[in-house]
Amino acid sequence: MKRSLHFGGRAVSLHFKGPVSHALVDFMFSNVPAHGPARAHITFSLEDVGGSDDLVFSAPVLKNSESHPGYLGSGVVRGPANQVVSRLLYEVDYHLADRCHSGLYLHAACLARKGQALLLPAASGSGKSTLTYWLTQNGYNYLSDESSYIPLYSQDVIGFTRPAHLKKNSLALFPKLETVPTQPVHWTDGSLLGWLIGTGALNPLPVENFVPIQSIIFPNYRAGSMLSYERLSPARTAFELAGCLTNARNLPEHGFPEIMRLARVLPAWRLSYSNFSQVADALSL
Amino acid sequence: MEVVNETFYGICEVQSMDLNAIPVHQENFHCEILDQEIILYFPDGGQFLYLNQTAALVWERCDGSQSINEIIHNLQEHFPEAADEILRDVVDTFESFLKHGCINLS
Repeated sequence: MKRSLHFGGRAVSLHFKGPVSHALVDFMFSNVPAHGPARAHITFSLEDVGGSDDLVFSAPVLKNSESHPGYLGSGVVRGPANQVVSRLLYEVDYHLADRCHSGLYLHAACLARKGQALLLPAASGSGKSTLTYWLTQNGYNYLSDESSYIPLYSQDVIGFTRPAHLKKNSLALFPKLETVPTQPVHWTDGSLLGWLIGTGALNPLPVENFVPIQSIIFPNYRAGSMLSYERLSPARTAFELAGCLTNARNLPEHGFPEIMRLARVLPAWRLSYSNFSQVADALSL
Repeated sequence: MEVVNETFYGICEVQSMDLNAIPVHQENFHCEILDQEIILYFPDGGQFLYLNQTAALVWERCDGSQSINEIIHNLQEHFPEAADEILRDVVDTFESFLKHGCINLS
């Protein structure tokens, strides 16, 4: 079987074989467009290993490794689905961003409400996915918990609608998660990293839906902190956005003109919080 | 791309900097002024730098016509109520500029 994944004006291809691989691909990518104008520039493979619970995932070895700074992948990984899945996500996201020239590929969650998008750019570990999941349970439609794309000259956003990845410490916050489709994610040593929450439980928007951005919030979970909800200046917004841009090297002037354009027109806040009642207060939910 | 956080912490070492040196912007940069703050973009390294209002005031004076001392005195004249803090703020700012390679001292 073959599945194309289109996002950010690019595409990657995934060949898969076997019922476990098939189920994993369906779980991971059912809300990612399978068709689009781009041709896949790389092909991955995922295959069941007969007589075991293992899968084998393989990604082509990149020839010019020096032109891929920070790339951690390529090669073959064998293991149970809960270990292979994080590598699969990494490779797909990396290679879509790596060739994206047509817009801003941001390390950002995004959600929609009443036809307008809320962008949540943040580094890993800031609580972005946990906040995203909570927002989907409080009136927002899910677009992505990780990667968002804004075409050049646009104020519309589309999300890479994969399952939301909650770290293990977040699970206790959501008792209802026991009743929704999930996929555990483990480190290669077998220890639990977290869970992927199926998009069906996230109130997703229909596939391929661009949404106009209403506002930007830079979230920062800090245990025990007081609520801080601070309006950011346009310059600060630009700086923070630049820090979440993953395809800067592909863009004219590293995306500087586009970052400045968005920072001038989109209102932005920094949200520091330690519990969701604070978030509800800040966002008037 | 490198994004540099300009937040200025720490105790400055005033003695370590030649206050008679004349600061000049690095040659290749783009500057956007937004509400008295500045975003600097250095195309060579793909580096962004955010300057708050204080740092922006200093940056705007790094045109090769004034020494660091003169910039300090100039700002103290403009903001006499903050004269005590200006010395430290300006030196901190220059230390950050130098650290990120966005000015040269002559």
